[in-house]
Amino acid sequence: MTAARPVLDAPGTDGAAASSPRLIPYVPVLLFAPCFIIYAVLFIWPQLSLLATSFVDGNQWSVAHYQRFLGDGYYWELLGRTLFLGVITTVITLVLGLPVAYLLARMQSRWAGFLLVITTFPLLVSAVVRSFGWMVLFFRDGLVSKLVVALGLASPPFQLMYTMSGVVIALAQVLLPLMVLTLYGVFRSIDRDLELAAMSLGARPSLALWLVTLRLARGGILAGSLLVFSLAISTFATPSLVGGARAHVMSTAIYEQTIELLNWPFAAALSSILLVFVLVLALVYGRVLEGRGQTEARP
Amino acid sequence: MEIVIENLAKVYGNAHAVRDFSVTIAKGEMVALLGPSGCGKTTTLRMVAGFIKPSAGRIVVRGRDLTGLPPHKRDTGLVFQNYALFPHLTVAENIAFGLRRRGVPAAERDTRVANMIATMQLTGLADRLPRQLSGGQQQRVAVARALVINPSILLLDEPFSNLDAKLRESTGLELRRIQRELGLTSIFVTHDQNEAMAIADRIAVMNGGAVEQIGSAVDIYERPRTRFVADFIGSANFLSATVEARDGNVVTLRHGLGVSVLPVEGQAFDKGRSVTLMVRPECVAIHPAAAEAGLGTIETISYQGSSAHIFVKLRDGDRTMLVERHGRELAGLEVGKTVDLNVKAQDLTLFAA
Repeated sequence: MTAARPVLDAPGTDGAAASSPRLIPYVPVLLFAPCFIIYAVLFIWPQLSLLATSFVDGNQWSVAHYQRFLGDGYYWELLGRTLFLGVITTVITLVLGLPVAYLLARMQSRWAGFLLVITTFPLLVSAVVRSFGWMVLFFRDGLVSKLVVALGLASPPFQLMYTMSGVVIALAQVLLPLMVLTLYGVFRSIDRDLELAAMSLGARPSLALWLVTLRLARGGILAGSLLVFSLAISTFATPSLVGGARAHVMSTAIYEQTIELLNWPFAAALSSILLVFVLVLALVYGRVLEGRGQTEARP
Repeated sequence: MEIVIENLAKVYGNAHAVRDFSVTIAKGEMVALLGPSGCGKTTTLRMVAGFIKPSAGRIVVRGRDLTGLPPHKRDTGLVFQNYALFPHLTVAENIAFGLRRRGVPAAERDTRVANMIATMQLTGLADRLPRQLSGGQQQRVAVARALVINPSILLLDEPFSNLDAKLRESTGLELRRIQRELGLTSIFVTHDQNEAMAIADRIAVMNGGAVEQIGSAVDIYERPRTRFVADFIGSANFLSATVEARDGNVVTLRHGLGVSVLPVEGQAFDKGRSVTLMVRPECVAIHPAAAEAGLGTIETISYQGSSAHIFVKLRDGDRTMLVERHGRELAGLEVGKTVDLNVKAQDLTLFAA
């Protein structure tokens, strides 16, 4: 605060008033204001106008776009595929990320920090670039597609490009670091002595892990899953590049309606439906967390 | 012997965390591992608990060699420094945890948990979560959880260090009473000498991974075997001395406070040798003296109620002696006054070099 004072007290500003005791109760509000204004102008307002747009047909209010969505099996399938993509990606990143995060958090070697950086390094590379990388591997002559054929899992001609499997693989790789980072933080906050205590009381190491550490990590596991799920169902770059037109999901359909078909109201309706799913999930998550508030891990 | 630990050692790379640790502990005995941080006491305890694999040596409890066994097969009750209570389980569930792992039938389990709750004075707290308890209560739950499984050995890692000073002594004595009643053999780790001296039957003073001395509190305080033990336990005054004469096993020593005659053994105390004498502050007699006759002057008096610590600067050299006096026996002693100091030969401990 003291460092900022010369600026506040500078002539021509009424900064001197900000340091008067009368205004101290408003300090939290003032500190919060910039973030809130940016959030309101750049997120809440556009979101509300998006919602309004979705209820406009021609020149009047209408629910026609929602009726179109609900009445067409194609869109139900699109929504189902999107949610499936979210679930399967979450499960894969959870299964792959849990052991990695646990080992990194428990590792006492000086390599731990280095390994954590390596694990999260992909986050420094744009998802677009990583998806292009997967495209190279997924085309008919790509290494991964050839490997799948060589293992006898598919018969030629085969490629993972433009398939849901390809999207799932690429998306799981894109989102895995986020899952690992979230879980790493959770495991770091759980005292290792708790597991040792369980073992000294007669629990096998695996049972100690299950009864104590994983129980205490539930909140963090939920948080990581919610993060990955909501990103997976709303992400655009990876499904668009790897899945293309043949593995459509909500986000690519919204893009198509907006840019190619110029049907903004319908695109707005699709966006709002997707948002509802994320919001419902976030609310359920909040309730689950509240329910286990009694048992949350000590810091 | 209930517990036999033989030549236990742990080496990390080039660092010897614990070297050649041996001790035998009788049934119902409580042994404290005492030392500064990094002396290897916690590593030793964790090797007994099974969390750390020893580099060498054996741990035998009731004739059963535990050395290669994983922690969950060792049947040890362990109380952690931070208690390590399961935060998501209630007091009763925490205590029942070990009984469940042993497949104790529900009815018996409930009885044993209830008995333990009564023994540890946790009545009425059974359904609380650990974070709803005070530090002292958490500590009792941790002890209850370790005791309820009837362990063959009770291990305590700095069990009182998180309690405030007043609670520490009463909790320690209470634990000691329960340990005696149940006839439990116990090892506990501490860096607090008062705790070790108040509770343990025997104390192993550790330094740099090795045991310096094992003995009763009286042994290690009155008859320290090494300079480290003398310095670490209580307060000590060290005086350099020269052997003036040796007659068989009796030596005459000249030191800053005068001349003393002491019995000795060994070659290190031949005539002309430099040695070190140690005397406890409460064994130094102090008298006011005439300015030109005194051995030193009083530098500081630190009054502590029941006792007072008097720092006396000796006239020869810059050595300062610590003298402890009863708090009510300070007549004639003031800062700046010249004093005489006397020690009795029986209160001196002699170290070579």
